[in-house]
Amino acid sequence: MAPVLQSSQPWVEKYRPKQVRDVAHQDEVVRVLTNTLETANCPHMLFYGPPGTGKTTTALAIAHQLFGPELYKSRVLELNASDDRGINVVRTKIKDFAAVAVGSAQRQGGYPCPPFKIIILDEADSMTEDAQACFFFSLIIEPLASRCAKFRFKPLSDEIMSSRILHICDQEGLNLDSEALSTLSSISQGDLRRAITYLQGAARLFGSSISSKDLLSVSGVIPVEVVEALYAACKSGNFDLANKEVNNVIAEGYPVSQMLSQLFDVVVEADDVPDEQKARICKSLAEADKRLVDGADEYLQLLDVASNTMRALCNMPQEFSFET
Amino acid sequence: MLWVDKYRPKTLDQAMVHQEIALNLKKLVAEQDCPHLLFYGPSGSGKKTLIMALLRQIFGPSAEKVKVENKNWKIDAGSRTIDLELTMLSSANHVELSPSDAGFQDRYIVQEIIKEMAKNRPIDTKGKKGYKVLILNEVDKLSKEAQHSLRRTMEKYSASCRLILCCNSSSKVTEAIRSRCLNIRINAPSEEQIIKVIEFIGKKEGLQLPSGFAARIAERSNRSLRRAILSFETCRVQQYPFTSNQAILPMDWEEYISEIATDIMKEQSPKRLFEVRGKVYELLINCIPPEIILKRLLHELLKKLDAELKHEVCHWAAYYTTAFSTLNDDDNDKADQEQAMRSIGCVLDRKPSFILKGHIPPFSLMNMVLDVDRICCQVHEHLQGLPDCNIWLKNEQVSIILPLDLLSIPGTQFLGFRLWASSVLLGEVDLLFCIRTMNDVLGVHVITIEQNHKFHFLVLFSA
Repeated sequence: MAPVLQSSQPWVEKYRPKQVRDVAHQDEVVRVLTNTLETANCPHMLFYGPPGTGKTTTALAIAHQLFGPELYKSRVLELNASDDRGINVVRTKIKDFAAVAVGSAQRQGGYPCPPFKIIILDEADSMTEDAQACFFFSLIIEPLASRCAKFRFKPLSDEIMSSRILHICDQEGLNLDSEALSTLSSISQGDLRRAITYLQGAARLFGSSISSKDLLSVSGVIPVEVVEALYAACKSGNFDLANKEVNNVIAEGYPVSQMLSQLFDVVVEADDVPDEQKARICKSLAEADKRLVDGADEYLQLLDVASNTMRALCNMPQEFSFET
Repeated sequence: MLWVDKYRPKTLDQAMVHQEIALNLKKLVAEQDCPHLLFYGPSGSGKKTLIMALLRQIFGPSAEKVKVENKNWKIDAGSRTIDLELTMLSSANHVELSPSDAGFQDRYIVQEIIKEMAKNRPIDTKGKKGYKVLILNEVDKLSKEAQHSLRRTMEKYSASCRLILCCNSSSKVTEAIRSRCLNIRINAPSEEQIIKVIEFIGKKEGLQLPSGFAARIAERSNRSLRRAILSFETCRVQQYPFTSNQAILPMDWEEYISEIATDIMKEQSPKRLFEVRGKVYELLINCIPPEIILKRLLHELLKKLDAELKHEVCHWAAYYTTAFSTLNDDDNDKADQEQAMRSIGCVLDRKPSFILKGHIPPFSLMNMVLDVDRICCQVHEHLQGLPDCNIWLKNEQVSIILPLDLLSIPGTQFLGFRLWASSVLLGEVDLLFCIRTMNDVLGVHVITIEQNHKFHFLVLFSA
C-alpha cells in the first residue's frame, strides 16, 4: 500500500491483528495455532463461527507468520468468493497449486517456513456444491490428508469488545463515554467488524466525540418509538391505523428485517401477552422473515405481520375460510 | 428539460430536503477519505441526487462530465465464454453501473468487471484523490452469489476504490455487505417538505399557485418527491393558470387498477373473474411489474373491504408476492421475458380467484367455464389426441371434463396437453379445466402443477 493512502483505509483493515496471538477472545484457537507456529506442523483447519469474530484474520495471520512476506506469495493461495470458484477452478487451480512440492524446511528471516503450502478458502460455504465436493475429494486422495480440525469462533464478549474499541479510540483520538460504549456493543451483537465500522462511520460523520445517539443513527437501528407505535397500533385492533403505521415505516426507509427483529424483542418482553399469542406472533414473524430473504415485497410482508399480530393480540379468528 | 432534472440540487449545500444528511456527508468527505456507503430508502426520496452531489463534493465539477458507454465484456468462465453487455455511466473519477441488469449472470459482473475496475487505481497528477468511486445501483436485486462475491472485493481493494451502493430495501442486502458499509437511510420527504419544494419551483418558474394546490399534489404523491414534481409539471402543461379545484391526474395504470378493484367488489362471479383476469393481463402486457400491481390492488381493496376481510386479503397478497420473487430466481433465462411474463400472469391468476373465494359458494367454481362459442371448435381440435375427454356444451358454456388420472400421466400425452394449454393461454382464449371424477361433488380444491416453473396452471377439480 502506498503510504499516502494509509489514512483512507477502513479501520477494519487498519486494526486487523497481524499476529495470531493478537486475535481476541479465541483462546483455544490461539493456543493450537501458537503451537503450530512452534512446531511448524499444521492440520487442515476449518474455522467457523458468526461474522466478525476473526476467522479470516486468523487465517491470514497464521499464513503470514508461517512464511513471512517473501515466501507468502509462492506458498499461500487465497481464494474467496470474489474469485470464480466453480468446479473447474477447484480442479485446476487448486490442484496445480497443491501438486508442486516445495523444498525442505529452511528458516528464512526468522519465519518457520514449513515444507507445505496453505490454501485459504475464504467463505467456503458460498462455494458451489460441486466445487465443495470436488475439493474435499481432492483432499481425501492426498495421502497426508486427514479430516479438518474444526475450530469454533465464539462471538466476542462485551468486555473484549469494549477493550478493542477503546484501544482504537485511543489510537484515533476519539472520545467515547461509557453509555456509547455499551450501546455499541449491544447493537453490534458480538460482531467486532460491525462495531468498528459503526465507530468509523460515526467518527466520520460526527467528529471525535461520539454519543450513543450518533451510533444508533449510523447503525440503522430503528428508534424505539417507531416500533412501539406499530405495536400499539396492532394492539388497538384497528386495521387502518396499523396500515398507516406500516406505510410510515416504509416511507421512512427503515429496513423491514430490522423492524421484524425489534418487533420480536418487544413481543417477547411484553408481560401482558399470554404465551400462546406470543407463539402465534413469532410464527408470523418467522414466515415474513423467510419471505423477505426470498425477496418478497417489504410493505406487504410487514402489513401481513401487523395483521397477524393484531389478530393474535385481539383474539380475532386465526383461520381463514380458505387455505391453499 | 424536465423540472425534476432542472431543479435537482447540484451540490450538497443546495439540498432542500435531507439537509442534515447532506451536511453529514460533507463532513464525511472533508478529509478526502470516505468509507463504503450504502444508501437505502424508498424511491423518489433523493438517493441518487445525494450521491451525485456527493461526487461533486469529492471530485469537483468534473464529476458532472459523464459519458454513457455501452461496453461489451467477454468473460472466460472455464469451459465457455460469456458475453455481457452493460451500460455504464462514467466520468474521470467514477463509474456507475447496474449489475443486476445482467440478470442471473450478475455474479460474473461482480467477480470480473467490478474487480477489474476496483484493482486499477486512477493516476492523479496531483497525487491527491487516490481512489475512484464505483456506484452500484439496485444492489438489492443482486443475486446472493453476486453479493457474496462483492464482500471480499470491498475489503481487498478498499485502498483504491470506494463503493457507493444504492438500493430500495436494505433487507435484501446481505448482512455481510451491510456491515462493511456506512449505512445511510434516506427517508421519504414529508408532505410539508414536498410542498416547500413545489412552491420553490413555482416561484422559480414564475407561476401562480392557488392556495392548497401544492398540498393536494403532495398528498397524492405518496411521499415521493419525484412523483410530486412530475405531476406538478403535468398540471402545468395541462392547464395554466391553475384553478384551485384542478384535477391532479393519477397515473393511468393506477386508475386502471382501481377499476379492477371496483369490479371485484361489485360482483363475485366466474364471469367477473374472467374479466378481471383480462384486465390484469392488460397491465402485465404494459410492463407493470406484478408486485406493483398486487400492491396497488391491495391498496385499493383495503379502502373498500370490511375489517375482517382486510386481514385475509392482506395475508394472501403477502403470500403471493413471495411466489413472484422465487419465480424470478428460478427463471434462469431473463432474455426469455415473454415466458416469465406468462408464468407470472398465470400465478397472478390465483390472486383474483382467492379474493373471490371468500364470497362465492364453492359449487359455482365447478362450472366455471368459458362462454365463447368459437373456443369450442378449438377445444375439440386440440383434445382429439387425448383419451377419455369429454367436452360439455350447455347454455353456450363449455366444460372440459378430463379424467383425474390424466394428470398423473407423466409421459408425452400430458406434455402435449400442457403445450396446448400454454398456446391457449398465450392467445386471448382463456381456459379453466374442470376435472370431475365419477364420485359426487364434495368440494373444490385448487391445485397447481409446476412442471418447470415456466407454466403454472390452475386446475380446479372436485374430488
